[in-house]
Amino acid sequence: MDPVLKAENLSVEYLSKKGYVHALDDISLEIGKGETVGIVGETGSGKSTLAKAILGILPLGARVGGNLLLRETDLTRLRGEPLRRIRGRDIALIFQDPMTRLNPLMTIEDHFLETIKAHESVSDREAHERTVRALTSMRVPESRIRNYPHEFSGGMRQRIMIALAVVLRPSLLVADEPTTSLDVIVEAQILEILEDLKKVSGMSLLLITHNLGIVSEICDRVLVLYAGKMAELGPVGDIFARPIHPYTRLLLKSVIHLETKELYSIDGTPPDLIDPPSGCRFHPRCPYAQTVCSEKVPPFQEFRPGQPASCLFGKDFLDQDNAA
Amino acid sequence: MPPSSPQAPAPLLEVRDLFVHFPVKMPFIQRLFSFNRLAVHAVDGVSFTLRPGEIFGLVGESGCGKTTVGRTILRLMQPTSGRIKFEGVDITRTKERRLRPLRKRMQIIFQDPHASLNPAMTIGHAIGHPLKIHGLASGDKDVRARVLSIMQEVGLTPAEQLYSKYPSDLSGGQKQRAVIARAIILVPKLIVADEPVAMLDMSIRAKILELLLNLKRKFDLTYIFITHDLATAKFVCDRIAIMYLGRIVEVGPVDRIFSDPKHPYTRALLKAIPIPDPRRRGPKTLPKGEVPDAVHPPAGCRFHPRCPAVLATCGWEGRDFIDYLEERRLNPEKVQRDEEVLGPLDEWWAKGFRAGRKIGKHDPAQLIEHVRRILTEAQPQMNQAVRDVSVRDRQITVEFHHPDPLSPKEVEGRLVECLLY
Repeated sequence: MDPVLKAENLSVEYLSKKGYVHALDDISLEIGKGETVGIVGETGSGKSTLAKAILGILPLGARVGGNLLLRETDLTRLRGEPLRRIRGRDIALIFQDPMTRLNPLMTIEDHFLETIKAHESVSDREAHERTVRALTSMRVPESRIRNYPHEFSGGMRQRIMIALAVVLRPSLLVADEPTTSLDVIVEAQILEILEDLKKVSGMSLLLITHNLGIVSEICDRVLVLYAGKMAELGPVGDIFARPIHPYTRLLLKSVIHLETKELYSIDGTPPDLIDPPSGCRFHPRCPYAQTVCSEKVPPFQEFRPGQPASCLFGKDFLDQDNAA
Repeated sequence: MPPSSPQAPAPLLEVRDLFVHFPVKMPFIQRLFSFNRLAVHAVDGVSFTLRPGEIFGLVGESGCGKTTVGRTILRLMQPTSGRIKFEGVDITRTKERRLRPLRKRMQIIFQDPHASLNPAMTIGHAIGHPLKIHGLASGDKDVRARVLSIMQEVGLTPAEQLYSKYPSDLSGGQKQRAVIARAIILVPKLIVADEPVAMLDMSIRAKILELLLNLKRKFDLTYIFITHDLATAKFVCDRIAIMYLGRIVEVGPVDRIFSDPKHPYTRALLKAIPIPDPRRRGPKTLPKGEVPDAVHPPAGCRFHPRCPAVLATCGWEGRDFIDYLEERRLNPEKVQRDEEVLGPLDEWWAKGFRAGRKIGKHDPAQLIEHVRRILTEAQPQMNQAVRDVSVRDRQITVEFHHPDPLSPKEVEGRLVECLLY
């Protein structure tokens, strides 16, 4: 099946006062139709940079390498109007904090009319009808269509954001920490809505989060990023049950959940991406690191079908697993 | 151990019927003409007792009042009414000057370590600052020695090197260690830790929690641990209080509450937590809607509009009926008939236990009949709570029964505020 989006050797560098920040390095990923892919990582892992690169909203001066293919179009080569036509219609984005993305001076209906009319030439009447349909499907009553963003609760605003993002039926929805500012119950409600939406529309979802619980609840596949590089990719079941990369293992171990009996944390802090560690970028924090880990950059290779990882000792970990 | 048992040590802190209301800002003219001052009911009758040496969790969603309770206990905010006793001394109305010596014995750790450190103060200076404020050091040399030793204690090493660094040179975890060091340098009795790890990456949260647990043992501290994260609360706390809209709905030992939650809200919270195990995915029954506005908290039990186990006696009121009308309008089969007979929603009013609207030219009998019919399609508990549907003076009114009185009850080793028990 043709992927909806395909990243090939994607890299992003920002210029900062101290030099170039290697925010993303050599990312290759395919997102299939109707698939939910989770991107997990700590602060500075490059997960939000990936979202921005896909949407073409990187800050000025960012250097992008590699390709980002939406069907035949390479998004990294597009600028201005052609990119604007794709954004919103084919790829849509929802953010962590809906309040900062909705215009406080515009009614909810105006947001929708603006979006619809920017991409399609439809009558006012049809645009209005589509707005009502999109909102009621997110359980926002029609009577509130002319309210302003501040008149809604946090969960309602996030539902409005989702409705606004999908009103043009995009093939890919990128959700950057969509529930981080919400409480657990509302978070669970929003996740349920996203799942229902996917079932109905068949769109693909790229979910960026630091919350492994959410990933395990709704994702099909997971990409684990560490310091701008791919640490491991795989089906959600394998990643949680049989992770290969030490970082994935330790990250899973550090999650505090209801059955946690013992606390665990990874020593050290994520590295400075202006001058990232040599060899494997995780080696300074890795309890299994050998001398070779600081010398050789590990290739991103498959250890189980559909489960590549970038660890020089991946084979040993795999054998240990199989023996156990 | 029940609090009344004779072996129980004297409580470190007692909070009785604490209310903290914040006035809602209104334009001057509006204030002149409004009889009732509107207030945010941030904390609305909270009582608990803290024993020395325990870790007591205040757990709930945003807006439940947990942070306000924590800050009011330390008198960083003024209580509206109620009583706060610290080490047997009533500090509810103590003047700031006389409160200051007590402040040495109660400290706070905030959520955002970056915002709690002065960016222009070195780490060493910041940690030693409380010693100077309270005049507890005999000179700069003494301050430095004590700061360095406490820095070792919290794992801010190499201490000599970090002493003269600024907050911006430190990682999030290191900054939080500095904030903790500043809180314990006075060797307090009580520490209020307000979401101490929420801003930190998952991979370093455990380190900070472990540090807090170690410091507690070493310095014989008592914590109030404020968090929205039930999993962390379960691991860290001895007892927890689950808060909802300014009230404690369930309080008791951690193991009891987590193994067998009694309040429907506690149950809902526990069920909503995402589980990091894809094999245990499944549909969840979630409470509907969101936490309501704390300016007008719901009547009766505040959780009743969302509660999956709601009874007819829980506090049904006028606006629940209007919410129900609104909910029906999301249903394409019902919207047309409802609009014809009941008219636009903004013509309906709700006041206390009643809701209604002017009926205009409508036939009263037909209206009453339609309202009664749609009530039978509502949750049965809401329908049972209806006292009367009537038309008087061209006004249709739906009136609900008053709720049964609600108070905390002892249920299997914990207190629960719910009419189910």
